[in-house]
Amino acid sequence: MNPLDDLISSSSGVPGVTPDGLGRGRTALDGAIATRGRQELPTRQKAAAHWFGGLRGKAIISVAGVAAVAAAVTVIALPPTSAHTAGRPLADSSAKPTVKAPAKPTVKASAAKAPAKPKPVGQTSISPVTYSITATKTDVTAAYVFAQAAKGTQAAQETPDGNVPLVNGWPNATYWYTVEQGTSSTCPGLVDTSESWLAKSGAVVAENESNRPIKASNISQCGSGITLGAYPVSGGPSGPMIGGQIYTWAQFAALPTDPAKLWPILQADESVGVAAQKGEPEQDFLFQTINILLTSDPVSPAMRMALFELAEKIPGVTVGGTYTDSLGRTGIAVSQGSDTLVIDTSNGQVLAAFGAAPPLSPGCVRVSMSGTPGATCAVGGASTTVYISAGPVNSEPHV
Amino acid sequence: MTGDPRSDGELIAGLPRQPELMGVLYERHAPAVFRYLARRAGPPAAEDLLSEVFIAALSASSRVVAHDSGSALPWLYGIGLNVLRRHFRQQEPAPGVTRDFGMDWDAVDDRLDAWAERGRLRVALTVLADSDRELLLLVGWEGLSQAEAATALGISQGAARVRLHRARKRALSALEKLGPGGPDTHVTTLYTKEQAS
Repeated sequence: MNPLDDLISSSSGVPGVTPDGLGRGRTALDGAIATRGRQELPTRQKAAAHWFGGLRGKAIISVAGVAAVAAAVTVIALPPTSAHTAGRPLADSSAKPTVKAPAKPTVKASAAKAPAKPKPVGQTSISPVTYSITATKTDVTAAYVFAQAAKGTQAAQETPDGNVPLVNGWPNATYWYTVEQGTSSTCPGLVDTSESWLAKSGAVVAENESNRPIKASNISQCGSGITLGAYPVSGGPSGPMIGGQIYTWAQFAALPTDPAKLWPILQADESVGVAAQKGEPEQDFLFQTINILLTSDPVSPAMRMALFELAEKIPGVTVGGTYTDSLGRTGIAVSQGSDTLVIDTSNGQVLAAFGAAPPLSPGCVRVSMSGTPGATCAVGGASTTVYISAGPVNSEPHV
Repeated sequence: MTGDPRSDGELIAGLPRQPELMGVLYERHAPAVFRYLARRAGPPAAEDLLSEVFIAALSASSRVVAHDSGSALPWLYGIGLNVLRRHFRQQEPAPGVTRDFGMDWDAVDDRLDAWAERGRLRVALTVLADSDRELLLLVGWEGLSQAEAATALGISQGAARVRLHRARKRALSALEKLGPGGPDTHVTTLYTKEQAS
């Protein structure tokens, strides 16, 4: 148990409901049931009852997975609001290129034109990235895609750019800089953008988070939509976390990059333990572990390759369409269950993650501020995260 | 609690035609839903809100299926969260006190003996976004699996796993910075800043 688990555990104890409270609740519920029983069942609900009476659980989830993967075109509704902003985070990368920069001449060219405009505190100038996934016929397997990604990682390693030299196979930079953008179908119009600088010394030294404003009617389910703003973080030790332990950059670098030796270490993740207790297949989580490590942690090319080699053995991963986004990046969508990762096989970068919650989830029963069940919410929740950048930089945080 | 042999999934499927089946779900799950509410709002408020969760669930039941694990609890917790948010919004704000629409911190404090522990928990949880905090607590307090917590919040399993991982890392980092002590003045300042921002 780490200090966080100790705290949560010690604060979880509450007295049980009293017999009186239980009885009063039942009486109120019975009253509501009686009222409801007198109402005529709307036709729409009858249809829904019939449909879902015969189709439940796994079947529905797999439908969601197919829908998420095979959707012919998935596009964020918001277009970039200005020409220069879409490439702005990569402007830093062009000054101090990331590992993936050599493979992105188009992006670099456009980023280079971006004016070095000081960013106002509390605002982000990162515009929403638009993207699409086109369904294409493919006969490649997921294992092949992962193998290609491992090769691409190798290739990127062999052509290191001058600004972030590899030392013993490790990107020897001051910071690990990540930029990501999240959207969710349950909060239309809301785009969360976050930047983070993890120092080599082992602390997140700066973060910048912002939300775009949303409609007041969505506040109860989406939060306030306010801008959290830029703030320097003088946090405690941070870095990759495995098994409830936070690793320093150096400790992380010392992990084995032989897939067979790395896997038992990743398995120690406490959340995998939770899943195992509940009888959920722990191997499912490797797919997401790869996502977590590759998109937020200072992963060496060697470890990146090891992760892809491990991924080749995950059963049931399917290959979807081709992803392209407004930053000029392309990748291949691979899916497991209702979750999809987009991987640029030319350099082993994860470009985006998509998740579709099972349909008819509680995303649809959100109670609005007025207290009525939300009628307009989307059926099932779909979330997207675009990883705009994840790599080593030497430039100082611009928060 | 009840001898009804039907699974939660079967009961939910039958709800649109037989709303009285919610009574069976109530007998089965009211104690757990009460604890969920009580952990966040305190036992007195939880007793008042208990029936609201099931009544709201009645309205929504035609659009819901049970989680794969077969339990209706993730779904009921998801509804409980909305009931709680409405409850906290309707409360008269005390002058000068920052409001938290997901938690009555006094009720949480009552469960921790040491002042330092109260402050530390508050720091750990207030550095998180609301939805991430809820994810962490559904797993830590309610004992849901990640997949069940994902269902409760209407997000995919993968998204839940990624967000939970980062939330834990962030909270742990904040705790480690605080050290074993956790002076209350610092906590109050940080809490107010977080809520105001």
